[in-house]
Formats: sequence, structure tokens, C-alpha cells
Amino acid sequence: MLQIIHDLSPLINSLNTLLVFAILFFAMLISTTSTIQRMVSYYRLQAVGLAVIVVLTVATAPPFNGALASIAALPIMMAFLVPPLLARATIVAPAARTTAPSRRVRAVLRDLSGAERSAQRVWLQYGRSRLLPTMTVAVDLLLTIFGFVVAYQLITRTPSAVQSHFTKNSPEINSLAVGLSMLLIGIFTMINRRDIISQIIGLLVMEHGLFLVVVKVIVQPALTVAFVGSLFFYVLITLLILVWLLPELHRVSHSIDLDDQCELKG
Amino acid sequence: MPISAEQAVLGVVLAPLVAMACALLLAWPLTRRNLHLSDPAAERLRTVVTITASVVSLLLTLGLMGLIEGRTDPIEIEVLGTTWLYLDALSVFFLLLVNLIVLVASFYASHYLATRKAAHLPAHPTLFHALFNFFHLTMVLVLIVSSPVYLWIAVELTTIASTILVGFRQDRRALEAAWKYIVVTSTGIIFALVGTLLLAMAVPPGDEMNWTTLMADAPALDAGLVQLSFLFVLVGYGTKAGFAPMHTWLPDLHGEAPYPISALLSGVLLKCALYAILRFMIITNATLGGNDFTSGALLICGLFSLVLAVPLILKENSFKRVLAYHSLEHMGIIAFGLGVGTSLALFAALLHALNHAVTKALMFLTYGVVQGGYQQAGMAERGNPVGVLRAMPISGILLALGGLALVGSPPFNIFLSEFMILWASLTRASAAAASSPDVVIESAFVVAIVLFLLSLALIFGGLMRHLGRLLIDTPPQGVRHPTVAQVVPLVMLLAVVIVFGVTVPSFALFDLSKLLDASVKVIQCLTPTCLP
Repeated sequence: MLQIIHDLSPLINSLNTLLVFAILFFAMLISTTSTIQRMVSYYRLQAVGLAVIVVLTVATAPPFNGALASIAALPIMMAFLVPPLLARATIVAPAARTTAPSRRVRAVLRDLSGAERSAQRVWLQYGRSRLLPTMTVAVDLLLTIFGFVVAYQLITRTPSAVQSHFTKNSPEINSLAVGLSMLLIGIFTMINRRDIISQIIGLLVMEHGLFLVVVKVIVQPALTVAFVGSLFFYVLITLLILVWLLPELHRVSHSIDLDDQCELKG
Repeated sequence: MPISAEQAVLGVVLAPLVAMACALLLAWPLTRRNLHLSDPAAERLRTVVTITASVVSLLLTLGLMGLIEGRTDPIEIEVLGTTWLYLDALSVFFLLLVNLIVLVASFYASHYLATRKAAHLPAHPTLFHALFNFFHLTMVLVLIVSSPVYLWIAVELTTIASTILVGFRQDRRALEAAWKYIVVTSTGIIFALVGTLLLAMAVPPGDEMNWTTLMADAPALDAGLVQLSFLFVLVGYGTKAGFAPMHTWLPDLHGEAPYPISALLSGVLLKCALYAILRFMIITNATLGGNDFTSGALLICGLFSLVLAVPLILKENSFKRVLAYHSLEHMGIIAFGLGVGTSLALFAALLHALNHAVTKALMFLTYGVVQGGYQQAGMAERGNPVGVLRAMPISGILLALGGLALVGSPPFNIFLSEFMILWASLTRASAAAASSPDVVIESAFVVAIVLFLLSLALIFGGLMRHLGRLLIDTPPQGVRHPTVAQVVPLVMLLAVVIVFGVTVPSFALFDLSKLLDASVKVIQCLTPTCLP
């Protein structure tokens, strides 16, 4: 098996590079598309692509690193959880307002089934940007170029051991550049959108960028467990937003529009 | 029986953990049935447990002050061959700050819940006490974990605890504040993790990444990578520390949080983020062989925060939001002091962190008590009280004196630390003028000092205007006076504000001066573990 993987490693590396650019492309699509419906679909595809990248990275870098491989579970889990949770936050099911913890969990699960279908009509109406689509694409491209410049500058300045890691595996440099670009595109998406659901998708794109940077940048196996642990904690924060804060904010403000979330000023 | 340093550290961690577990257990009907506890009795017990945990934590921290004094090496606790906890004088100083403010705030948890109950609003005492102790635990963890990655995780945990505590009221304003806070800080914290990753890239292969090894390896690390790491960390943890321009969540969060939590957020949480920046600053300085790079970044960051705070404090706003903008001002002053970078400036900046925490806790807690009293007279939960000096004279005097302290009037604590920072910056400016023929550097220092002084003067006027409106006017009828139990902790805080305005305590059992000196040595990398 190991021999087969070793023989196929040039092909796997090429596929890996292709996927890395594909998830950058999805980040740009998320940033430019005009409906939440499409943003969610692209997010899902991006998550699956990221999980495959993690698996391929671990497969081509023996010995097997279980901690690093476990990162693949995160985007897959989020690809399953995020769309129904966003849908639940969009339709604000009143059943989730019961107080008993066990009832609340059951109510959340009940809300999630079929939530996506119910939310689709709202999702088709929301997702507008502040900037025109052409301007959004231009900003995305500029941010990507900036990400690549920073990543390549970074690699030329790193110590020799790290440099050898990157020069031997050129896909790593591109992955680092794509990860940094995704962080910037994610922030830009959050600023550029006018509703809280799209804003959170921007944060989720940043999260994917972070996953990619962690997977590709960790040179030392000794540090893997700690960094992977930190990613799991970051996902906890995202889930806190998705499960509790987003639906509650929608419930009390009766709107997912950002312009309606401005009670606090001054 | 004397306890070891390791036992004291474990005690500091376990106290809030046990209190959190007790708060949750007391919500379980079986526990209450077995202990024959009624609802009010269970609530009293929760309060007692929370306060006891805070007292134990503070006493153990005071013990640690003495224990760390006699050591040349840091306290490190290993489990299963991995070092998890690390404490030096700097950690103990921040631990003292955290535990002092947590103790005072813990006295007001029950008052806040009682005020909500009296107004027929949902109180959720179990959740509040459990989260209060969890928040305490997470802040303690930030200060004692042994590695930058664990530090990041601990900071994340503080975000989880504080977001739920702020959104606790579940009304529109509270949820909006929690939303803004978590979105801004979660974005910022990603940069802190990227900064940590960049530092990890610089670590020699095979080495662990903890504070001890990082200090030992620092001179050999790649300078460019470490510099970039520091900038990412400054943006990331700077967001959490409330530095401008990433401060936008600050007034919403402090304004909408339950008042004991506002005291913790402003007084303590911002300092925990500052501690994280300090840890990276120490490594960056050790790698670069000087503090010019970090000083420049912190001076710019501090001055920008201070100057930006001026118009925000001057404009019309609710009093809690004004207090929040004062956090922006004081975090700016602390960063400015750290940026000046001399021994005196570092000493003063750390002292200012403690002084700001104490004074801000006094203001938030007193204002919370005042709001509680006015709510009895029919004021809305977030209304602005007027005529406090006549309606609640003791609270009014506490607010007036606390306000004077906050804007840096003598003879209060903040005056002393601000004066020390100013003195240090003047000394640094004259030293720069003497040693460098570069007129630009000299002029930049002079401009910075002028801006510093001008901002302080304008802020003084701004707060006096807000205080005037709050204190002097005709109060409504039926305002309830605070109880003795509510006033005593506040008076003790005021005593600290006054005493620290005259001297930095240096007693046999509480030698703060020595602890600050030792902390400055840690920052300047003059400890045996740091020296080559």
C-alpha cells in the first residue's frame, strides 16, 4: 500500500495542488455570488475539497500522522452541520425556546430536519454585497496577490530547515499562499455583505483558510497535536455562534439584515 | 502546614473549577433533595461557594507571591512528561490582578441576580454562577499555561465564557453586543494563531514549543519570522485587548454585560490579552537582541488608542459606554508605557494595569449598585441615573472619587502610574536626543509626549462632564440605598485606589514593589532562565 502511494505521489501532489486552487476558487465564488443559497453550496464543496487535501497530505507524508489526519473530520463535520444550522438561524424556529436542556436539544434536532428546504426562499433573497460584483472580484484578486506575495516573502526568510520543507514540496508554498489569501477574502466577505448569515459564511471561509495553513505549515510532528487541538476549540466557537447566538439574534431582532442590528451605537 | 508552589498553583486552578462544579450540582434536584435545600438556600450556597473560591484563589496567589520571590527559576508543572503549567513573576503579578478583581466582583453576583428577580426578569442563577467561575478559571489558565498554543486555547475559552455571560439577558441589545464581540474577536484570534504558527516555524526541529524552550532558543530563532509572528499576534491579541482600531466591540460589550461581568471584562480580560502580547514581546526582544521593534509597534498602537479615545469619551453616551471608552484610553496608556520600554516605564505600565483594573472595577461595580437602587424607584434596567449624590450619598462619593482617579487626578493611584510613564518617556526622549543625532526620532518622541498629555487633559474634561450629569441633579423618589454588604467591598477598593496613589506597597507579607521589579526583569529578559 505504502509503495503504491509512493509511486503515485507525483500524481497525488498534482491533485493536491489542483484542489488547493479549487478551494481558493470556491472562496472567490462565495465572495462574489449574489445569494446565500449559492454561498452555502460553494461552502459545502470547499469543505469537502479541504478534507480531501488533508487526507492526501497525510497520505503522502509518511509516517502516518493520526493527529493531522483528524483535521479532515472538521471540514466534513462542518459541511454536514453548517447548512442546516444556518437554515435554522434563518427561519428562527420558535420551538427552540423551551428551557429544559433535554427538550431544547430535541427541539434543535427537530428544527434542523427540513430547515434547509424552508430557508431556501429567504436565502435566494439575501446575499447582496455592498460593492458591485466586478469590484468584488477585483478586490478578491488583489487580496490573493497580496497573500501570495506575503507567503513567498515568508518562505524566503525562513530558517533553512523550514525552507527545505517548502522547496522539496512546492505545493506547500502554494497552500500557505492560498490559506493566507482565504483569510483575507474571508474578512473581506464579512465586511462586504449586508446580512448576518453571509457574514458568518465569511468567518467560515477564514476558518478553512486557517485549517489549510495549519495542515501545511506544521513542520514538526511534535507540535501537531497542540495545533490540531486549537482548531477543535476554534470550531467550538463557530458552533456556539451557529447553534445559539445567530438564531437568538434573529429571534429578537426579527431580521437577518445587518442594518437592523444597530441598536448599539455611539 | 506550608504548601509548595506547585500545590498553590493547582489550588488556584481547582478553586474556580470546584466552584463551577458545585454551582451545576446544586441545580440537580437529587443534590438539593439530599442536602434538604430550598431554592433560596441553594442560591445562597452558590454565592458562598463562588465567593469562597475567589477568596481561596486570592490567598493562594498571595502565597505564590512569597514563593516566587525566593526562586530563581520559574514554577513548572509536568504531567505525563509534558510541561502544562508555567509561572514566573510576571504570571504571578497578573494572577494577583485577576484574583483581586474576581474576588470583589464575586460579592456582587448575587446582588445582580436579585435585582433582576425584583424586576421580574429571568435570572438563571445556576448558569450565571457556573459561567462566572468558568470565566475565572479560563482567565487563570491564560496566565499559567506553558506554551503559546495552550495560551491561544485558553484565550478562546475566555471568549466562549464571556460571550455567553454577555448574551445572558437574551434581549436584543445584549445579543447584539455578544454577536459583535464574538465576530470581531474570532476574526482577530485567527491572526493570533497564524502568529503562533509562524513562531512554531522558527522553532528548531525536535524542540518543544513552551516558554522555557522558546526563551532558551530565542537568540537563534529567525528574526524575520519572529518579527512577523509578533505583528500577527499584536493584531490578534490586540483585538482582544481592545487596542484601536480593533476596539469596536468594547463599548457594546462593556455597556451591555451584567455589571459584575463588565468589571471583569474591563479590569481583567483586557489584561489577560495584554499578558499574551507581553509573552510574545519577550521572545521577540530576545531574538532581535533589543526592544526597538516591539517598542515602535506598541508606541504607535498605544498612542493611536489613546488619541482615538478622546472624541469617543467627549461625545454624549451612556455612562457604561463612557467607562468602556476609558478602557481604550488606559490600554493605550499601558501600551505606550510598554513601548517606552525602559525599566521605569515597564514598572509603571504594569502598575498602571493593576491601577486601571482596581479603579475600573470600583466604577463599574458602584454604577451597578446605583442602577440597582434606581431601578427600585422605577428606572428602566438600562436607564441613566441622575442626582446620585443626593439619592445615594455614599455611592455618589465613591463614583466621584473613582471618576477623579480614573482621569488621573492626584492623589489617586492612576495619577502615580501615569506620572511615572510620563517621566519615563521624557527621560527616554532626552536620552534619545543625547545619543542620536537623528532629529526625526527626537521630534517623534516630543510629538508623542505632547499628544499623550493633550489627550489626558481632554479626557479629564470629558469625564467630568459625564460625572456632573450623573451626580448633580434632582433624583427621583424612592431610590433604595445600598446595604452595608454592598458598600464595604467598594470602600475597600477605594482604599486601594488611595493607598496606591501614595505608595507602591512594600510590606513583608505583600511586597508588590518587589513583584513588579521581578516582573520587569522577566520582560527585560534579565532572569537566569533567559540570560545566555
